Amino acid sequence: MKLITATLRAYLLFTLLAFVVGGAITIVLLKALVVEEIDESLWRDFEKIQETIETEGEMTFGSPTWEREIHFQATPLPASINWKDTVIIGVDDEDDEMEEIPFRQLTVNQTINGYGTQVTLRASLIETDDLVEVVSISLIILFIILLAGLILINRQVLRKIWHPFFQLLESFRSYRVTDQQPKKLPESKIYEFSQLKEAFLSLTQQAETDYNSLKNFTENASHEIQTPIAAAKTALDMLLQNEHLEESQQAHLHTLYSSLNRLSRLNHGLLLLTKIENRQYTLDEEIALNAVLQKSVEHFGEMAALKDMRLHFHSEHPFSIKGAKALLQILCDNLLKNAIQHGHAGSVISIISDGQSFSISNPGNPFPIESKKLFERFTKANPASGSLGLGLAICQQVCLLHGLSLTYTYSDAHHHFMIRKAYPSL
Amino acid sequence: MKVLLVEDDPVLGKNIHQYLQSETYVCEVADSFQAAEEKAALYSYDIALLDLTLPGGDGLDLVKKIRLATPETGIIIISARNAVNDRVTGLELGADDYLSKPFHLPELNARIKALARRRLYKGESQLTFAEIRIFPERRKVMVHDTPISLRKKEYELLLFFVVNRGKVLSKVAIAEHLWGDYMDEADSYDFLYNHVKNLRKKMKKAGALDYIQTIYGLGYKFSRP
Repeated sequence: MKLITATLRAYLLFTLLAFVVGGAITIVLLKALVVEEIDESLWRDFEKIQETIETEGEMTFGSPTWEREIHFQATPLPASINWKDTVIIGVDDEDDEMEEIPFRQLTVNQTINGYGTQVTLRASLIETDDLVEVVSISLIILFIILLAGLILINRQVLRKIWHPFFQLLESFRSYRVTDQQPKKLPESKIYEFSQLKEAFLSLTQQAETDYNSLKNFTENASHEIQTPIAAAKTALDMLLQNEHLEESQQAHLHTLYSSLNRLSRLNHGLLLLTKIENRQYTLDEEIALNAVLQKSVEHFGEMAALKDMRLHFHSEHPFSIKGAKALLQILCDNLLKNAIQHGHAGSVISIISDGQSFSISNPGNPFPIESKKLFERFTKANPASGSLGLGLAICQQVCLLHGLSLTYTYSDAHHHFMIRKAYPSL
Repeated sequence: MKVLLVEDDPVLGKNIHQYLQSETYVCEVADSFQAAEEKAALYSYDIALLDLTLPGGDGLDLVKKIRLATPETGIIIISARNAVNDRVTGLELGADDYLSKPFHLPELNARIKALARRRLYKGESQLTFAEIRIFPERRKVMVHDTPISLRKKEYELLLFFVVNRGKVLSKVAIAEHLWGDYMDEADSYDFLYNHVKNLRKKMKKAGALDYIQTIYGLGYKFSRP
């Protein structure tokens, strides 16, 4: 819910309540007042009639009407005064239709000069209804005016007073720790907003310091570790040229070579993971993932062919995401390489992309490790293999960074790696 | 061919220097930004090998300076800073190639030769070894003036051998040259073995002598028997 909706809703509820209760009370009071007024006038009329009867005796009052009925009888009547609301079906003056018209009725029984006299006087209450109607309509109009005013003022206030807040929000949203540029933030006289701004600044400063120190670390670590490895490697290249090497020495040399290689790849992999976790890659490139997959298929076509495997790549719809191309290439390469390494010779590896997800499936024996451990660092299906155990951990991190989900299932003697957009675009 | 090597690590610098001399390059070493700047200003080199992390400055600035002063110099960045950004920036500033540390010396040699062919001989070069002639621009190989057809990796393998003739090449270095990081070691040796076998067969069929010597457990050497 938006801020404006929330505040308006509260206002609306309160004014509605105030108007309903206030309106009801007004109407009830008004009605009572009018009835009292009518009663008084009826009573005055009655007193006049009574006076006339008393002074002039029986007199003709003409035929009874809705407003006035007077009956006489020879026997006395017990005295009583009776007020009552009643309804008479009659013709409305305004629209000439038959309808129920509310009346206030006064019936007085008494004995005057030995005659029983019943006087019934009625007054139409239709004016009262009109009055209620008029009052209600004016209340509703007032309510609408008030509401419109509230909305307008609210919007104005939101726009003016909350302006710095929305600017801050925009800065939050567009903030990238990699930008490292001084942030232009709005000044605000409102205490809460200037507090928010300060909190934001100190938070980003901390994030930038952390980011920079880790970035420096990865750069330095890379340089400091790879340089001695490079020195050792080149030394081996020179040593190799020695004509008088014995076979056993050659074997030792090979061990040295491959250990150095492993060390350097390990270092490379770990630093790559650190860099991904530190979000040192900008993800603002629009990348066609199918093209990246196609490239992987080309990279590994030869390797697959040497194992008599076939790569079957099928893409139905374009699959594009925002991200870092180098990382996505590593992701696709690693998964494909994995499939080739752990698949049966002579099998088919199918890579299917459908626009929202892609999967790599191939027949193979189940991995001797739990599937949830599969993406951990240094997890190896075969400890004796030359694998570093970093490939799938890197895949996992690349997916996390790009908002992709990576899942592994084993069914029908097939490995399935599935990559899905976590939030499918519509 | 004159090569300027800018490398601050003394051991690595010495090794590269020695190896390049054995390949008959004239090689000078600078171990700091200032030293490199001076040398580049005083002399002109055919090829400059630049480390990026240097005492006294950033190697990327050297790329700019050398490109400006002597545009004909070929520049190869050799760096442990394997950041994609550095690679892209380096190439944008005018470097011709980027080789990340650690590398094998035969690989460096192959890169230098390839760059020299592109820059110095303007693509009109050919490589000759006995009866074998290679035309790198057209990826063509002739044996006794008869063209032979090689698959992509076989061609790359032969070129790597010919460029690094007379040197013992480890399987590790060759595999890395052919496949980069794409292949795991154990697999790559089998594939390499296959490729060498096929290459030998094709060369022999075309009437070339077998110049590929197997160094047991270690690698190969391409030289006259």
